[in-house]
Amino acid sequence: MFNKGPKRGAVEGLIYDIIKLNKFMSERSQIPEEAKVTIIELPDAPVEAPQQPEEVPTDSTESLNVENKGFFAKLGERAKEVGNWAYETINKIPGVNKIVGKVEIAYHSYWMNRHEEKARAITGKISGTDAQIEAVEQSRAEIAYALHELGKEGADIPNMQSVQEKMKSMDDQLEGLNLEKTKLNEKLEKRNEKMQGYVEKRDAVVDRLVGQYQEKLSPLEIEIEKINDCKDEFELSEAVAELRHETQNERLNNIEKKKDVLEKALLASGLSEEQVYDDPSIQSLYKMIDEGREQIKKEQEILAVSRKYYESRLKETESKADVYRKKKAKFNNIKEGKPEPVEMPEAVDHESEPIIEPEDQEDGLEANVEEEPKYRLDTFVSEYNKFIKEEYKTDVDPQEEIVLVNFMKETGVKESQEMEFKRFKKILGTYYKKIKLPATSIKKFDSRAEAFYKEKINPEIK
Amino acid sequence: MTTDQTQSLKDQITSLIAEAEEVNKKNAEENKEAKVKFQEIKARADASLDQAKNIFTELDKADKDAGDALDALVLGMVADEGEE
Repeated sequence: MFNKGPKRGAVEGLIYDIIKLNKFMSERSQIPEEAKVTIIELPDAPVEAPQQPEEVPTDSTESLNVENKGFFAKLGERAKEVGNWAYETINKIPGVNKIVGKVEIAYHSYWMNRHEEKARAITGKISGTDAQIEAVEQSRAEIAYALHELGKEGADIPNMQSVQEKMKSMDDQLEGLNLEKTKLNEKLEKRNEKMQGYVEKRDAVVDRLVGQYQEKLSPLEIEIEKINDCKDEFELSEAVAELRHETQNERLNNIEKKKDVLEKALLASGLSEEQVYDDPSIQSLYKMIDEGREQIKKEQEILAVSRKYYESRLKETESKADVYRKKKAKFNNIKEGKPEPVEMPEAVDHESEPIIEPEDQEDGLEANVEEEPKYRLDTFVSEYNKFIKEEYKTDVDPQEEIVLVNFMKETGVKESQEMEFKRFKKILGTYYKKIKLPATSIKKFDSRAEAFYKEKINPEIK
Repeated sequence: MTTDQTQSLKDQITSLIAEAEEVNKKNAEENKEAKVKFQEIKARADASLDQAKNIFTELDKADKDAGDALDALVLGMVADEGEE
């Protein structure tokens, strides 16, 4: 920088250097290019900001608690602008999934980008200060060297006082620049520590949340399995109840038939219709038959309500659990930086959903006009066991073969109980579910039962 | 028809009333037994539903706590925007 001009005498050279020094000093007030800070403006619409909501909430901080709301209120305009973007984004998400939006915002690349921009700006300032320090140090060293050389020659130095003042001024400047550099380094360090602190806290919060999900979802799955078991057990009892109601109705029909015969006999004996039908004993029979049927009807209604209860509660619980299962997956994906791998479900309000009446699964057999033959339970069981072993040989799950004692214990149906095939099939199907026959075998059950019906029960329909 | 024959028919009606009473009693007993079983199954289902409900409440609480903590963090980062 200095002494690069044509060769001069020592004093002449020193004066030349002092002129250059003065020029440099006057330029010192200008900030060197490398030290200039680029101010990055906050984007109008922040980077990767999600789509605009259909309805922008009037209060973007509505999801904040009192403490955080208070903090938000104290923010400056620029910070509020970013805060509004963040919370308008979160507020667009339905309540139950709002936490996903909060995790997404906390992991948004916007923060890291802003941090890097700011850190880069400080680093730029440090580089600029370094360049200035180096320049002043070099000048000072060269002047000191020149003075030393002039001193050795015993030359008379003009404006010695001014030169000494300049040297002092350069010392002051170096002190100022070093102090500035120290401050900038501290600022950079503080900024990095702050960001690191945010990242660590954010990861800790989300890790804890994922951990809580992990911890809670396992017992939830167990409870859902238990509810499913109850539903299977209910369905088995319901199938048995249908058989019981059929038997009970037959008993009442039998009473009614006997009553009809007696009524006809009384009419034939010469009694008038009024005398017969108004007879208190006959009236009492009518009442008892009606009451008996009413009792069965009431129980059937209770069963229908119970069925709806199990179906709707199970569906509701499954659907709710699904929201949390997907949220857990989503948290992990956000953390790993995988964008939108899981479609978040809307929480479904099952209360308002119409419940579809289960159709009576009579397997189309009810359409048969002819009365179906009835067999004892033990006959059905032994014949069915024989059939599946002969027909499907090795492709029979050990649980598929019915153990009569166990079957009677689970169903409460006696071995002597007679029933049509459709009842046996329904009870057996629900029994298999109750004893947790493997799903692959459950799938085969329907076709196997139908084949059994065609082969052994009603070969004529083949 | 003789009085005896009419009396015989009335006796048969009395007997049928007794039989009908027996049928209704038997049916009621059977249904009562089944009702106990249905209630026992429902009690177990209700207990599991309550447990599931508690777990959902705990998960919602975890969401809320994490949400508040994340809000505080995000607001800290937002406040940084106002600096420099």
